[in-house]
Amino acid sequence: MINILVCDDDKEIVDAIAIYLEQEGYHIIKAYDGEEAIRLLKNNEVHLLIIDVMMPRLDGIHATLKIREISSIPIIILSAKTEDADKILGLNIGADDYVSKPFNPLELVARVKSHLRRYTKLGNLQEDNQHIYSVGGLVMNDETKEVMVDDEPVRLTPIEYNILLLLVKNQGRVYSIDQIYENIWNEEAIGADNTVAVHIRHIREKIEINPKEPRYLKVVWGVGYKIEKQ
Amino acid sequence: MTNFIYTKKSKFCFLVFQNISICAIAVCISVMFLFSSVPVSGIYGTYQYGIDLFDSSGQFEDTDVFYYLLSDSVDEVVRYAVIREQMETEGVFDGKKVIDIEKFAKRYEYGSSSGSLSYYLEDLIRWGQYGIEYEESQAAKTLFPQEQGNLYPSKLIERYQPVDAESIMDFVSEETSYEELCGYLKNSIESLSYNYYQYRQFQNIYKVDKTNLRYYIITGDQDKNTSIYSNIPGMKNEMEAERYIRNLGKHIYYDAHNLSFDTDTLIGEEEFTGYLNEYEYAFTDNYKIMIGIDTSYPNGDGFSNGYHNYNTVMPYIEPFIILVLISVVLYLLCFVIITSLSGKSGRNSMIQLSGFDLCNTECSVFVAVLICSATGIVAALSMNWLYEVESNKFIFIIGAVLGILSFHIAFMYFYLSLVRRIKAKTLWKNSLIRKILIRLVRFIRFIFRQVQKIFFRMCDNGSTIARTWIPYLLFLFMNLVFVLSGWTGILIIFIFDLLIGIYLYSENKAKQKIVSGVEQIKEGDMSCQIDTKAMHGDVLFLANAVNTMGDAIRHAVETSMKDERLKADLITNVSHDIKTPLTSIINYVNLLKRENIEDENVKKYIEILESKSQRLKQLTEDLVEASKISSGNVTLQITRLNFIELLNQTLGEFSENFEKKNLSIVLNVPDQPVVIEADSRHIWRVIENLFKNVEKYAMENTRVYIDISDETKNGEQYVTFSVKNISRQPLNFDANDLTERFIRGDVARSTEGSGLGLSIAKDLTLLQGGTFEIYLDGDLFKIMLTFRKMPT
Repeated sequence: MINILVCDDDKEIVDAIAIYLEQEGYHIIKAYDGEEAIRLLKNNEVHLLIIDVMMPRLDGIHATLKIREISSIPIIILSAKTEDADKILGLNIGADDYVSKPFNPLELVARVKSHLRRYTKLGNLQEDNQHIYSVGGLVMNDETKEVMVDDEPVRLTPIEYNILLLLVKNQGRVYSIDQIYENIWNEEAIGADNTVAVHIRHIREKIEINPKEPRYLKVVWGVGYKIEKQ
Repeated sequence: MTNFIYTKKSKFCFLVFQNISICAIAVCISVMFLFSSVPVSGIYGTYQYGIDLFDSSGQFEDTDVFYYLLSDSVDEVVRYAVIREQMETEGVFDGKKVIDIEKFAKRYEYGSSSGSLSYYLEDLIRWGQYGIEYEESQAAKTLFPQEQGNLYPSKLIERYQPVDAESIMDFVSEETSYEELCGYLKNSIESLSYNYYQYRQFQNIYKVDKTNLRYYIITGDQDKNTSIYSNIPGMKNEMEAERYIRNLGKHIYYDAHNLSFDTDTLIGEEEFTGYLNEYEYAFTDNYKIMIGIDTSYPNGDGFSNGYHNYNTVMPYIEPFIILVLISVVLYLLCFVIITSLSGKSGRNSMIQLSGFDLCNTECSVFVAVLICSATGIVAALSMNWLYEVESNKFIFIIGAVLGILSFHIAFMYFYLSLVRRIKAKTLWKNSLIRKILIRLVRFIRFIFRQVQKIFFRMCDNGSTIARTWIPYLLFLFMNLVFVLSGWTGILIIFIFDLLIGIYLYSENKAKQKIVSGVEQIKEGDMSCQIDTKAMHGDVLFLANAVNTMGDAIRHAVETSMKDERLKADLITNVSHDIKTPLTSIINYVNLLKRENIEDENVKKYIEILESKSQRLKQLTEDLVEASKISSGNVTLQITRLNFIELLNQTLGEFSENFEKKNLSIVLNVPDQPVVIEADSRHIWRVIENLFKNVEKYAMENTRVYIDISDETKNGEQYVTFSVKNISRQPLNFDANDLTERFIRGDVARSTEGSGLGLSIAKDLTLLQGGTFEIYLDGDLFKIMLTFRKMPT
């Protein structure tokens, strides 16, 4: 049984999240402020924490700091604060993910699943296999041509697969549209074309929880595309 | 109808009426003039008497004209009688009549003189006609050496001898000198020859068949030695003559002896005797004068002319006057109407000016006066000439009418031109004086400005002169004085000049400080403060003023930035507070969707709830972003990026959305990479917003034109990116409104989106150093971005 602690001062939000996650088979522990969350965390075995930032008594940031002293469970910060600075702050103090309110419940569920899988299966990967490339929850098996995101298989077309493989093999490197084209089609890129861009979007839609805020396949606007090195 | 009177035809009609009136007036007046004048031939030539047309006497004999004619005739007849006495014997001219010249010369003096020197009348008259001559002779001078030798230096040439003597010298006696005798002789010759001339004229004028005047004059002295002078033939005696004259119609009867005066004319006794007084010597106590006028006027003379004219004109005088009055009224009426119509072609039309009206005012006035006066003078002269020369009255009237008509036409032409000018207000505008005045004023202004310029160039104001030139002159003066006062002076002035140099240097340094301070403020460093240490006077004042202004600007900028930040904070906080309940709404709507709901209506309602909650989410996010960007609270990470890459990436994101709306993209971009410097995420947001705008508002099934082109402006290279599409709805608003926050193409705000997209795009573009312009042309919607182009 996986226990998830959900902490928000808004009871209805906590209840809604609970309903979604319980439907996925998780056990939910509810807390309504930071102190309660810490107390419940100490008293229960918790596998994942979803915590709001703005709360009475102890806010989410301070609570996360304290929890990080005692636990390494995945923490997803849930906040109405959407600014970059807030996200960076949240991630820097030890949170694993930052979800802006108002959020799409299905996206939250997907993220929860992703984090739980990584948390529970981390280290079990067979890194020795040369044909397996992985970035976070994204795993590509070049032998079987299988692509798994958070242990779920993803169906890609051959061109999409080749593009993703190129980027995954060269993690951190930015490829421009022309470079991708020349690599995949083995032809010289003539003029502007958005074929590659359309493929990339399709890939994103398939492998990302929220294609607009991709975790793996990132767009460097005006330069190209890359897979962030993790 | 009202418009008809403005036509040329009607104006012409009025002009014709007016000219007919003036002709009528001319005819009437010339007729009245002709018939009211009475030509009289007297001894002094022909002259006129005017009949008083308003005389209501009724009878010619009662009018003033008759009275004047009679007075003149009485005067003449009396004189004629006197002259006849001098010239005639027994009623016939007698050349051999002996004239005692001394008596004659002294005839006005009372009492008779002795007299002795006499001549024959004809000799004297002839002498007079020939002329009196003198001779200069030594004899005369020696004869009268002392006696008024200067007055009569010469001797009279005796052309004719006295009666019964050889020379005047024979009559020189103790009482009368030669000179006196010569004087008498000269006087007599001149008077008699003149009288003889008049005598002949009178004889002609008062011949019985030439005049209607009859006279019967009896003169006599105390001795009853009477003479009768008359032009009535066949009168046996005085009684018969008196009866004859009294029956003539008008008469004057005067008996000096009995002092009886009787007349039925306007001449009074006093007036009558006045005529006689001049000739007292001729009319002694015993005389009778009878003068009559034959009022049947059988003979042509002044009286008959007067009578004839009077009776011709008087019966018609009243109709004539009425005709003249009517004509005058008609004329004035036409005059007023023409004056008011002149220049107009309709009730409210503009004043139309013909060729002459456009001429210069002064020139036209000169021409008008010249032509009018020339016409007037020609008309007057020709009328005068006709009157004098042409006896036919009809021709005179025609001439008068033609003269007046031509003058009047000339006058009206210029008068109407003047009226049109006044109406069109060009009288002053077109005048030469005005032009000259304007030129003059301009010239004076120009001179004044030049003088002012020169003056201001020399010295901007009084205090500057006082503070620069006076110390400078003082400085020069001191230099001069000290230099002239020898070596010590030169040393002193050297030190003095050095000090002044140091002073000028420090002054300039302070000024430089101020200039650099102002420069810094201009560059945007509001916190700059000028160090006022070691400053004084004007420079210190200037520095303090700059510091104060800098403070004020900084304060204003800070306040406005603070306000903007507060606003952004407020919006952020409010949106945070909205987001929490919104999260619940979205979550529970989603949960509701998962329930097994059969009711289609409920499903529909949930759909609406979902879409609206999503829109609310978008709105709050855009609102926060817009307020942050407009308050400048954004951090930029400027990098080099390829605009074409960016465009392709973005098009990749939007390709399916555009396909859904069947929007075909027409790309026109260069093959080479186009590099600009921008924040990649923000520039993506800009392009994304533009494309979202196209997706939302472009008409379906149309083309969207996207261009990237290079442009060189002021030596710098720019990249221009433009998006053109056809709007689905009419663009009935201003281009600027679109980038104002919360303003959107559709006023109803019914469609999706927050209305902040273009505003955010614009603000972000400007933040990254680009320009953002929107053009609306009919349904064509065009957005143009420019960025500085970087070398690839």
